[in-house]
Amino acid sequence: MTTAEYLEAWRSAGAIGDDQAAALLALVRKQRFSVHLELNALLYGGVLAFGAGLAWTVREHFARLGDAAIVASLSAIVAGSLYYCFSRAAPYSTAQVAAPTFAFDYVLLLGCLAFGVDLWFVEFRFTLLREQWDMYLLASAGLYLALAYRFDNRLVLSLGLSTLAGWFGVRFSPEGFFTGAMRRVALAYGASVAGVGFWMHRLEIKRHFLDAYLHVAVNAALFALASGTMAGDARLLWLLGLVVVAAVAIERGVHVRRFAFVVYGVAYAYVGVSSEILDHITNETAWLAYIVLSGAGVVVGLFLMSRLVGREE
Amino acid sequence: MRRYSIDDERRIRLQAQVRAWTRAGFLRPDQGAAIAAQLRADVKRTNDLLRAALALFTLVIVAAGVALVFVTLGFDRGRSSMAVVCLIAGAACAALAEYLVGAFRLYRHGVEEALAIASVLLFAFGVAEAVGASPYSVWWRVWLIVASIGAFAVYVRFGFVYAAVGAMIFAALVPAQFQLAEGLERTLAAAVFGGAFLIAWTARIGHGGDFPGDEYAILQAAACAGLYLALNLHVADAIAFVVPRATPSIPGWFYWGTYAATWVIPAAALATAIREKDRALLTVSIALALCTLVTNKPYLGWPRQSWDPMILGVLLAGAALALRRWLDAGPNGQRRGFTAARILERDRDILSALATASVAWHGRRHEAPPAEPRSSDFAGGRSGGAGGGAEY
Repeated sequence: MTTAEYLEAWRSAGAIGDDQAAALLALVRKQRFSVHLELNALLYGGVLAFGAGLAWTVREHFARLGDAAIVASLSAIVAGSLYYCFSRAAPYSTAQVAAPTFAFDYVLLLGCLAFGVDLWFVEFRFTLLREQWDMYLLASAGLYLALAYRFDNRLVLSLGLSTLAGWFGVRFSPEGFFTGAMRRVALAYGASVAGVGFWMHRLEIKRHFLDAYLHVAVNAALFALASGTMAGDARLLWLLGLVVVAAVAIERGVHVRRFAFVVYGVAYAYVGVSSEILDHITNETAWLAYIVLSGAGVVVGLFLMSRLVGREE
Repeated sequence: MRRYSIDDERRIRLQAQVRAWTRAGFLRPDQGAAIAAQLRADVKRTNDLLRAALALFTLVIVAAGVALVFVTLGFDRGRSSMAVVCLIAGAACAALAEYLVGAFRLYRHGVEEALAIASVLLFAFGVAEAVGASPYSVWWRVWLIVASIGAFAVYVRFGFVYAAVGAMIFAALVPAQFQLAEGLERTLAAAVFGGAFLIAWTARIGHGGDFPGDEYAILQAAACAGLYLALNLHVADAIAFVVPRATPSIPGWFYWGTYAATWVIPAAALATAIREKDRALLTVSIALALCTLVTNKPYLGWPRQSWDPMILGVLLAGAALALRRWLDAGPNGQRRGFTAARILERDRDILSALATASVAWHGRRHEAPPAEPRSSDFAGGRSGGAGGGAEY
């Protein structure tokens, strides 16, 4: 039976009404076809490309363009974007608020990206804060997060969280995480982000942002702990931390059926624990046997979990 | 031939649609639950993330298991023993995948998928070793041909669409192992993808969006992307945007022919996607059109400018806004069935995931300004000294 035939059968049996059948048939026969996602993707890609080009142009041609022209045009983009958003936004609400216009979220993102370039350029040319240049990151992270909450914008929330990571000194690259100082900083960052996320959730302010906070926090923390297990100074301590955080991520992930956290917990814990065990195995055969047996254990565990809580049928 | 019945395949897809319709409010929750209960298929499935983790760990086990056998037997036993081990391991993986599907009725559960894919890779390795293929290019020729056939067999047996895409790619890579002229290599690769496109397109007629039409639609879109990528000589420039690559030494007529193809293929694909309201082809054609815009300057030999991304950004955003306004201005906010309104919640989920994932690429932007401050034209040094104090 085709989908259209199923719909007709359900309509005849009274399982769905005539109006419902007609609406669904229009979707199935593509008489109504949404390009919402494609248009959003184009707009988002456009804003990102524009922001990247803006930063590149400022960096390459500042001498020819002149400081005043650059600062004035970047500031005009920021001011224009903020004016657009403040003039069209619905009143602030702690609950989820839909964007008032199609371009709204992206205009705000564009303004934030231009603000970042503006700040970078001001410090680059006038070196106002010198060694404390990273205070710009803190200030802009604060601004981005405030704007994200004011306008309920997850794109700007992510920008704020990544800028905050920059202020902490965290870089989302593997080589950055494998140095001692960075590891502790990443852990502090993860704990702070998770703490703020839970706190805001508890205060019932934009509760739907919690997911974004936790994805960032859990990855930062588990990456730091796993790298500490592999190359840290007190490796057993890092390992203990890794096992505890991974266990919490898995347990909470299963509890609220957010399986991404289960996968994070399992993958990072496996890497960390295995690196510790494999460090003590010198025999190649035993090394490979460990991977086969431990991998089989993980597969069986995940399989049982998928049958118990992650089934989809 | 297929391990799952057509009825099960259709029920599984319809179940997902019913779930999406219920979330979007087209069906009441009680209606959705009642209909979903009628559509239950005799298979066991799991969450996509757990599926990915299961597949990854299964591949690790297979790789380590094969390596373990090699180590135990000793590497110096020659090619024939390696071939035997790989062929036996490939057969064991295929048999295990069959058993898991048969005994547990697994459907897209990760484990059986990884085993089936591993069986193809191992079997191809085993055959290439068994025929003692050398030199290196001949070995790869054998490997690619066997892997292509094997991947297609996996698609036919289990319905893994990505296996069919892999079969296409492996087949298209075969000409590259014959030391042919680059133009001929690319033409043959394009012919493979073009042939696959025609087969998928023909097979799809009469099925529409229903199974197996949905699978053919993905294969058709993938073949279209492959055709384009085989012919675009500057496609690597789209990935490494700033670093220019040397133009391959090929005849001028071929060079400009491929240039024309980079414009014609996305345009034709877009027109077809719009006419048939084919989402997979629409997505691919938009991506290919972007690729054409990015590779246009390298094709023409024009230097890149720092404002190119800004122009691209304005073009993309302008196109999105203009299309949105145009669609909204139509009767009931739609034109020829196209609407800019969100219909299903899936779109919101994807955009939310994209927003969260954007932390990763925004995270690359934060770097300290250079340690040495540069003179400012506000400070009066540059304008009076003809820019002599400026650093570049």
